[in-house]
Amino acid sequence: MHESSRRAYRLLLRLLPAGFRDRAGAELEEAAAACVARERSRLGVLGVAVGWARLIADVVGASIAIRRERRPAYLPASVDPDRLVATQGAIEGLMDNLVKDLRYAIRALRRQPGFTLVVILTLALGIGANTAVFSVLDAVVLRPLPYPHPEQLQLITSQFPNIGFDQFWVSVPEYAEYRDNNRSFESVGGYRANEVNLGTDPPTRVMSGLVTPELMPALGTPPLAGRWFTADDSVPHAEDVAILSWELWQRSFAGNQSALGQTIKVNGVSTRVVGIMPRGYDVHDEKIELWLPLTIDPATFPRNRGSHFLYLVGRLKSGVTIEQARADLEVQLKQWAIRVPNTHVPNQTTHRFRIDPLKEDMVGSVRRALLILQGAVAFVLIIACANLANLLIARADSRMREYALRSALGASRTRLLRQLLTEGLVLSLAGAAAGWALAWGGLKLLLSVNPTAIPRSSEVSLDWGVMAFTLGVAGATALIFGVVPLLHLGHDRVGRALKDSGSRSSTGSVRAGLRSVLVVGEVAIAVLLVVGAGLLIRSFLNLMRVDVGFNRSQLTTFGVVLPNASYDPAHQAAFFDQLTDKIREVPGVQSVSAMSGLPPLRDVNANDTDFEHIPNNRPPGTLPIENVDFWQAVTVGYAETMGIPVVKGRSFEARDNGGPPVVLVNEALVQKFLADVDPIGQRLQINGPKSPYFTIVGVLKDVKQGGVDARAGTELYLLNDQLPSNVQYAYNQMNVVVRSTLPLERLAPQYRRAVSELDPTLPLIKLRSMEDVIDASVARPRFMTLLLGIFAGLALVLAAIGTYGILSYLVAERHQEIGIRMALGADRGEILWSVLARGLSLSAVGLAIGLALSIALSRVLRTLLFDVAPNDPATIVLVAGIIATVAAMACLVPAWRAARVDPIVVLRGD
Amino acid sequence: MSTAPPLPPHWFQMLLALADRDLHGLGVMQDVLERSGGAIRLWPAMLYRNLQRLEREGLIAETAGPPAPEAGRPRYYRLTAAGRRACAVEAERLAGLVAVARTRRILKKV
Repeated sequence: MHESSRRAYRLLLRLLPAGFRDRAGAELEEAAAACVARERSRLGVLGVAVGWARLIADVVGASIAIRRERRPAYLPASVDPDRLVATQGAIEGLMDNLVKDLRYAIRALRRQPGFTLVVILTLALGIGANTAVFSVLDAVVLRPLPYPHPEQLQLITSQFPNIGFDQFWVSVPEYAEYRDNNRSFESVGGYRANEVNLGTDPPTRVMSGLVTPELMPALGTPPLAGRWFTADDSVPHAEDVAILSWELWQRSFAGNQSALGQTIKVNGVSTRVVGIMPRGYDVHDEKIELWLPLTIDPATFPRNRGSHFLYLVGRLKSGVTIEQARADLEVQLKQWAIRVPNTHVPNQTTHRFRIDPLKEDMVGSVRRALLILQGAVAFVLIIACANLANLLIARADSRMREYALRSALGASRTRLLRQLLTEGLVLSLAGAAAGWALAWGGLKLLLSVNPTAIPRSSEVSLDWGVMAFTLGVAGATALIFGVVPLLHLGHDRVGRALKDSGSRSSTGSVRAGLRSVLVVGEVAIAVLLVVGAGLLIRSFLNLMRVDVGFNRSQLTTFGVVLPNASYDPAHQAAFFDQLTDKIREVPGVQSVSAMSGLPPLRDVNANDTDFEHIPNNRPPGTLPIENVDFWQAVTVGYAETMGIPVVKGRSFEARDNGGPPVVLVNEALVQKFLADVDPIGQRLQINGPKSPYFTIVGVLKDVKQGGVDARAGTELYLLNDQLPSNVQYAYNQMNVVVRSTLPLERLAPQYRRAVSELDPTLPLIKLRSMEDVIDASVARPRFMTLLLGIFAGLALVLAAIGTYGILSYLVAERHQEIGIRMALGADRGEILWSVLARGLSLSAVGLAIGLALSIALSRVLRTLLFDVAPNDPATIVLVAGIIATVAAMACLVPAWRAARVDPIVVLRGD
Repeated sequence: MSTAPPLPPHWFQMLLALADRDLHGLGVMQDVLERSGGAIRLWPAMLYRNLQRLEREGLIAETAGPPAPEAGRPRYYRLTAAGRRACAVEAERLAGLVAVARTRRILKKV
């Protein structure tokens, strides 16, 4: 016995009274080892399991017997411990029978390796796919968030209905006012996820969470070590402190407790570690590894009122419902302007707040997608089970004589029944084990390919709940295995099977009907899935064909972030000018530019922008609100590098660096704000009424910034170089984009050299091709399309195999009849057609039902589709064609086989 | 024939194992297994519990056993006189039954 087995046995021995155990313990262990070895030599691998089962029964039995023995003598005789020995003998008999059944089942299945393999594979696919998808569904949608009382957590965001922002950030003053005045929340915290440079030489990029002191208490999870932030940490000029995530603690400090109190460099600033959070701790799936306190300076409140950058998380007071919180919010919105006399305060119409359950906000958008996938794999499992049922009917039929013979020789029906159930059990357990392995591998693959497509993906794992689910599915399938063949084992049939000299003329019409239902059902379900997949594929192709507004090929990109501690705005702007100049000199580089936001998917900025031609004294709420969706700070060469056509006027030129302030706009902006005037020469302010005017010198074609599936928003382009002198700031976080025919791996060392020549402490961030950037922006639709495509393909193959199998069986069953008909003069074409017609008519019925179902059900896909109607006729026609072709192929082989039946062989054979 | 209640079969087997030599528990288990051609398989906890009971009934007793090198050596048991008598009584009883089987021609005479 292995050491771990010995340990397990020692644990088992704790059931025995201590005195007995102390006297015999070591010897018991030796004897147990001998017993397991004995059972192993007797029964093979199975013996280990049997041996252990008996050892457990033995210890439990002895423990009961010894304890009873100590009871007073007046207890009834029925507790005679020796009776237990007899019971043990009975148990032993049962176990031996079970072993016998198992071995018989395994032998029977081994004799038909083809059948066994098909069954196990089919089951494995069905169970594996279900387990994998359920693992994701469970972790993402079903499981509560990993905080204490997660149902009390709400996400609080702002809304600007007039500008079309349904869910927006909140500014610090708004946060403080809501935190202090609301009556529904125990605590309200705010956070902002942001990447920072960690360490030096070379620094790494980590995701940080800039949080208010109330956030961690609101979430409720205590730190693993150290402390949360306190109010003192967020006052101006407080000591710089940080809290590590478990993951960062492991990576940077190898999980050493001494990390507490040590100093780390965050964006070049020495910061003391004051806490460590437990493993997996996060907020809103931001994957935050480093927590930093947000500095709040009450002195600057009025100035920061328009600077919206926080998401709020609140914990409801116990007993308060979200409806009550929303009602209270309306009261707050009404009173806000009275309490805070300012034009920019939240109100009930133009600047609202909204409250959503935190989990709902995180996973709401994927719930439907995952439920659809779960539905799809459930359908795949149904088809798989239909195929299995059919296989088992056929097998039961072909073994009817065996059963009849055994029953005639005295095997009881229960014995045969037990035999069948055991075979079913072996098959489904093997299927479940293979399926589980498949799910495990599939899940690994899935998550490694697509880590960003679904929220909470880091929480996904195959766990005991999922395992139970797998076993449940396997158990249900075992029941089907057991029950379906038994339908054919009525007593009268047994006798008849013996009398029948092996011919198959006894096909009951019930069974033929059942088979037809199986074919129709399988085809219908396959149609449903293929239509769904077809719609998603078309939709995805549409997405990929969307004009993103720039020429995506031959572009590579990387990001650089300049720490504010060592670069003032003028230096920041100069740095990116120098960097692009350096890269422009690299041989093979055609053009280069730096930009603050990377299309096609970036965060909206929604900045107030004051157009000179729009009067400022309009009544509040007049449209259009002077707010631009995207501000893009760039360096010279932007339009040229990205391949964005200049529609009107000109692009930025070298002379603009240091020249009078100019700005470019996109077509959408012109349409919204400048439709009635010539845009060129119009002026606007970006930093309040006293700031300099920027003159529009050109109009660029629209570029997608909010995702390829969204309409392009309004966008204006600023020249980063002009910003410090005009508005006293510059963008310190820029993406460098390079147009070159050279591959990324040739360019990368040049980029690194160029950056390190300017500042060796700066890391390159997210170095990749622009194609990858676009791909990443459609990760979720791709994930959905890929999975549903795989499941539909699986369903199609399984349905085809099922149809083929059933028709083949019908042909085999009618072998004799076909032979006789041929002998009587039927020609081969007629036979071929009759079989083909049977299969095709069944498939046609399935196809019709499937199409009807998909027209009824495809509406659930509506939110996942882009530019495709849920009842897209082209897709439906295509799917019908595919299904008809596959069905015809599945029917043709058995039909052809039927037509080749040799009447002489058939007649002689009987 | 004795009027004493019949010895439980597994007790009889265990006593038989100790009839001609002193054994430890595992030895008893193996002797019973071999003698019965693998039919009677004893399991550790029940085996030791029954050894304890046999000892308490005075049918077997702990003995020094052969000298063994290691310290944690197992406990050996020997058959007591009472044990030998009980075993004989049971054997007699069984022999009586066998004799009946012979006269009724269930078994052939030797």
